[in-house]
Amino acid sequence: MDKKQKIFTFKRGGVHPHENKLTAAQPIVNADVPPLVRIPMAQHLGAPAKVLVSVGDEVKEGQRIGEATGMISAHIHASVSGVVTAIEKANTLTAKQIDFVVIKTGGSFHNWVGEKFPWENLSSQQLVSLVQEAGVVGLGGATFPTHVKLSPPPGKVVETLILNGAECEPYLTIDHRMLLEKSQEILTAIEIVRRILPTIKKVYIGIEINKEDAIDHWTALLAGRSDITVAPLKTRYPQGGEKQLIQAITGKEVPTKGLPADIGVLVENVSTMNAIYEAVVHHKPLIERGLTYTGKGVAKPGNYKVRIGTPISHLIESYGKPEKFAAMISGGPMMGLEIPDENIPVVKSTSGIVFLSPQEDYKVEDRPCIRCAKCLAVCPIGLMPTELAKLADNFLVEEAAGIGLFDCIECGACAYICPSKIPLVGLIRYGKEFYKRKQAQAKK
Amino acid sequence: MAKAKGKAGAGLFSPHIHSPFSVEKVMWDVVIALIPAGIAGVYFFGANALRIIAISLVTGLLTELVMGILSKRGITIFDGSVVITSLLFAYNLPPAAPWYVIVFGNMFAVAIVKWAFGGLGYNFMNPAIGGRLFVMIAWSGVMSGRWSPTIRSFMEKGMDFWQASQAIVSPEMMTSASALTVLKIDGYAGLYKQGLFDYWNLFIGNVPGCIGETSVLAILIGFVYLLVRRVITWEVPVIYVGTVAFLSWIFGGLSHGTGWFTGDALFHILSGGLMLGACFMANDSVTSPLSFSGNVFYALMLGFLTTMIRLFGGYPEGVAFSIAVMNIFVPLIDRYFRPSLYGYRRAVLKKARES
Ligand code: SF4
Ligand code: SF4
Repeated sequence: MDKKQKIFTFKRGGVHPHENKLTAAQPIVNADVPPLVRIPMAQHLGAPAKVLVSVGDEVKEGQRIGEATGMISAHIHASVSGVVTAIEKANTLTAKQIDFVVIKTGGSFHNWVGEKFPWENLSSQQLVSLVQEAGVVGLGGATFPTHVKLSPPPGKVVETLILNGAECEPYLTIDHRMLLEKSQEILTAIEIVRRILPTIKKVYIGIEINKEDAIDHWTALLAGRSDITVAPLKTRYPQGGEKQLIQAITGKEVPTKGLPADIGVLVENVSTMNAIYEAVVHHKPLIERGLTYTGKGVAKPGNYKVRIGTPISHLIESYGKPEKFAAMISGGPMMGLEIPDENIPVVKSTSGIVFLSPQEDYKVEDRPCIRCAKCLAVCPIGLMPTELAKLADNFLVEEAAGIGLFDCIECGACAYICPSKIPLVGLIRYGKEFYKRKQAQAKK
Repeated sequence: MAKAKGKAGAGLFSPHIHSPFSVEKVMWDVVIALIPAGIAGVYFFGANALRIIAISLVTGLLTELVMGILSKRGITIFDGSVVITSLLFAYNLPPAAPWYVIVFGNMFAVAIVKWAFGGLGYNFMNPAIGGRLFVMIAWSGVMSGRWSPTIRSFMEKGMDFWQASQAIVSPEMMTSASALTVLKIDGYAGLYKQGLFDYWNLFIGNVPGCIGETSVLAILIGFVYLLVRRVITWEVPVIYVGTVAFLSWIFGGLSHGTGWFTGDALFHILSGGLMLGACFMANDSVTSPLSFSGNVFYALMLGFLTTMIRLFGGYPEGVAFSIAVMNIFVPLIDRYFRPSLYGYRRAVLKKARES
């Protein structure tokens, strides 16, 4: 990396956990196709999709099996060819009693990349509907339907596109590999997005400086171009949080309760950009995604391309799991969710499977707050997490909402640093839910 | 706590990793940082200092043990907080303090001030400060009239450590007043006469005073250690001491007839309990404000109160009293001094409305 390059970062707070990027040097390889996939109809932010197939149907890889319902929703596709053997209700990590389509794998595979469709002459509208067709959602973890993000409300002019390659979560390396291995695809995707939103003047690619090879690669790739710039970012969690990334690179703040589009910014994760490319150029739906399978004691840690719906148990068979571990996390250890059951499948939001050793695992303790103010110091929003948690704990949610409860991005920096190991984020989240429930009840 | 916590902390929630930072580490770091001041106390005040520290520690630990069990929080003596309180309380006593003052004072500090609302984290006032105020009221004679010279001055006259330790607590020796008392009664002229007005002796702690508060040097060593270990932040100690220096420079000369802007700022910050109070008690995390701006305000107010009491009040020293008063205002300060939030700047909100 060039010593003179300016390093960007957000203005306040943040922590620096152990990076543990064990798999940074492992190229992305295709995972085995499982004998059976279980595909939930809720893999995105918004309304669940409606099942389009029934038991006994034969489905083709890439066939739409779930239809988006409502404005904010996304289509779901069969990730393998085969026969639908069951449609059942089960829980995902984020939703309860969701329809799952179970497909027994069989039949042929489709060579998606063998065919390239011209896109240069398509209209903005046509391009967006290709993305919508493919069921692309934000792959960084938020899973907001991408076609909605690409159609800002009238009056909002997007001038800046920021590619999120920060990957500030410990352990995860999939975006790092994407940046190295899929740069041509991502570059094309930038052109596609610029065609969709011609008002974009400036493109930034934010990459944390612990991925020096990716920064060098992109700097070389973009030599001589002034419309696309690499923005090296300080290695600091939550650098990849949308609000923090925008502040780091543009210096602007997203207004509270607002959207990045309010200040003319669009942020897309680099894996999402690759999905946009595949959707538009190969007409390939989002039926597989890259993820990092890792943890201390894992036999074959690596970056794998996995079919959506692959049960975690299948990955464990192929790549092993540590003899002793405290928690199996979907996503990174800072914001991910613990996987309670190995039958849970990989979904669109699964950016990683991380096994945490008993030493690493964070145990909640029933300790009083010593008011050390460390949580205030690390909060990137400027909240007083200890106050919010105390109010939520006493069900004083209105008061908490008055001091910014809903501005919390649940990054977990506060709970990470707290010497009393108080589950600050858990309490804050509980407070949010309690508040919403109370509001809903009041309406009735 | 723990009404909602059962559900919120079920373990399925992020984050799943935790920093190596813990309450124990914080507390024991403070204990380590307090050791230099204790050594200085023994060096200048001899075996008496050691006796006071030992009695205070034993009392504190026993009281904490009993209170922890009584209030069902279990055995809390290993978290180190009671060691801090006991050391600080001991450091706030004069070398001739009788045993009952130590025992009942620290029992009050731990059992009442610290545990009345549930122990560490729930105390509204720094326990050592509460204890000091209690003994100042209950045994005011002991606390104000018994300042002894340091044993160093006796050893220079040929006594050994033990003889000198005995000498400074014998009633006939307890004539010398603390520097601030002399200043109060006789003005700067009195200080010159008594030979107390020596910046170097004030700095190293070779002056009459409480056993742990006289050595600015030892206190600063501990303070720097805590800063380096990131256990504390600089704002309260620095602003507190800075305010006292500034205000006593402005007003310090008034009561001695030398006029405005003639006060001796350096003398004021080196003498009395200011350094110990600013570096170890005013900034006690539990009883100081949370936000940066809150801490700045709190420290400014502390400096103001301390200087006013010292210069114009009835007592020569005002540190403990100021800290106690400001501790009580902390909940209010927390309410009105909050960090500014991301996305709330007026310009940001205005722009969002326009578009
Ligand atoms: S970090 Fe934990 S102990 Fe410190 S103030 Fe925040 S909640 Fe309290
Ligand atoms: S309060 Fe919310 S935004 Fe602030 S550090 Fe905690 S989780 Fe992050």
